[in-house]
Amino acid sequence: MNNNNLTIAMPKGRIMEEAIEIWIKAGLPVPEDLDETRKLIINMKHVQTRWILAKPMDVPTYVEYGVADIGIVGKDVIMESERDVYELLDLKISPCRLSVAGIPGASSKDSVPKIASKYPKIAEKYYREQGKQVEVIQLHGSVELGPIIGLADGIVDIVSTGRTLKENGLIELETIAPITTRLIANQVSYRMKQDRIKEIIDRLSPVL
Amino acid sequence: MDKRKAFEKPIGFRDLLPAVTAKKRFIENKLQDLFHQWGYLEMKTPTLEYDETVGAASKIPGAKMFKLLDRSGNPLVLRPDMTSPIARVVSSILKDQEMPIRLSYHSNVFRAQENEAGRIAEFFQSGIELIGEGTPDADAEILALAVEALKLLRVGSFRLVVGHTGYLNGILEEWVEDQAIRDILKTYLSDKNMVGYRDKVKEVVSSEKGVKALLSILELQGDITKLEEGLEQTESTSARNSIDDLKKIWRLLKLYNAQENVTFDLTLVPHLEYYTGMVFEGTAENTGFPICGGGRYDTLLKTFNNPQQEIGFALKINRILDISQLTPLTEKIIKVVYDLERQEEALAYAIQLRKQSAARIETLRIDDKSPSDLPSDEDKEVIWFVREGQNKNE
Repeated sequence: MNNNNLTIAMPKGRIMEEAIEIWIKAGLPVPEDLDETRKLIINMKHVQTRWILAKPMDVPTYVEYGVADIGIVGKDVIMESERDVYELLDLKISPCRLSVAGIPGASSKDSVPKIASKYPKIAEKYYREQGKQVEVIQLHGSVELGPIIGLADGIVDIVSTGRTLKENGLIELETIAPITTRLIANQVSYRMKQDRIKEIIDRLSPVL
Repeated sequence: MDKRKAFEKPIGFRDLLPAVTAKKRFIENKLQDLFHQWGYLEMKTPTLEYDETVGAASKIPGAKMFKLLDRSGNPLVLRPDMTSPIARVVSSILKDQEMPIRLSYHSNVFRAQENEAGRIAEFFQSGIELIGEGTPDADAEILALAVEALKLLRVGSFRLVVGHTGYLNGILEEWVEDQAIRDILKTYLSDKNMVGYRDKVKEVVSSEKGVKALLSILELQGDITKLEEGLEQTESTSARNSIDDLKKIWRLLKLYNAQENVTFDLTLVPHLEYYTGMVFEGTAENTGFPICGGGRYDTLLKTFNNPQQEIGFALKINRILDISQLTPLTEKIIKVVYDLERQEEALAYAIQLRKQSAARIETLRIDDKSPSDLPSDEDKEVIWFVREGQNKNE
């Protein structure tokens, strides 16, 4: 949280690649040797900026605690992590949707249907608000396996093209929410580094 | 179920060890001296309150309070804040006292945190309440006092961001007829979800001018010039009056020499629903979380059938403990070491010394142990009362 230095939490992976493209389009500084590096922290001293390369799910945490001033992260992660951060801008990249999927035509044999998900909080909340009772089972990846091997009746997961679902014999049943990537900010940095954060927003907004 | 380890304590609760406790007491004493100078007298209220009175008045969601039942089955809460209990007191015991009433407190409050085990459930607040005055003068007084308090606590560079619920309510009423939608928009702002707010405005407001006005208020953050910009966006009387109030407050802050630490954010919406006028939040550079919050809640006392107005703030002492550069004075420690033979002489000496000196005086009986077996006390002055041949003072 040092006075005029800005720390940005970037999610390693595809979102970061797309974010970098926007960053370049907006004329914002980007590290040069990003491809070769395995470093977790990249300093750009000449522009008083530092990037932290983080697991997407951890980006809201770094930002909430203020070790990163701002961060780039998917709306799905924001919803699941329930962190107290500012959601400043829709970067409109990596569009997809959070959906419920299942085996076509199948009906649950259990009294309470089981739903497998990497997003237990979102799934829990969605079904609660629908007035349906389900048992949410948390998995950490390849959630599509759930219905196929009989662990769950359905899944709650992000869907972009629907190809993974199709290849595994699942269909999309309901859409929970459309998802894009967002710019988030720590609530104190948002005040104390208002000028720097505003500059980033002003540069990004026209290129989105 | 696993057997609990003997040292475990309930999730979210912490012990404060002597070094932190000393700093906390030092900070609270400094604050109380300041509050006292401004006419705010300290008071205490019970740890437990009725859920249906103070619990409800606090506007804190039921799930976030610790609840239990008294012997007659009445639901009680561990007090979730100090503002509501004080509102209860001034509406009952103090109701015939001459206004305005100025009160202060240093207290623990409780919140059940469902999110994460690491978050604390009991935390410390120091704050003030000014009851019976609805003027910008009162608003300016508490802002100035908050500035003084944060300067005194040496928290580094800090800022108070000031808003007004009347501005936001006014401009929302101007463009959005449906109360339910206005509430949704306000919730987006208090959740800090600017993306959601923008999308919803575009979705529900049909007039182009309205969309423009409601989106432009997101830019109304910064110095005093933002108040003029805010004025240009609205014809609403209540919004315009709110700006007038803020301008008056700003002029008064000059007299208090407190303008330097104050900026504005006309979209500031605190989570608590009871705020009705000027609101503010304090942030400092060395912590990612706000360190102070407050504002006006003129309808709070009505829930206790009291027509008076009330304004106040609370400092988040847990956060401040982490960043305050204040350190308690290092005290002198004197250790009086004696054996049975010279016990009377040693204890008399210690008693006398405690009367005269501000130092910390510890005593230790060693009997047959040789002084060289004792742990070294480099930071302590040691005075020996041991029989001949053992005398270390020589």
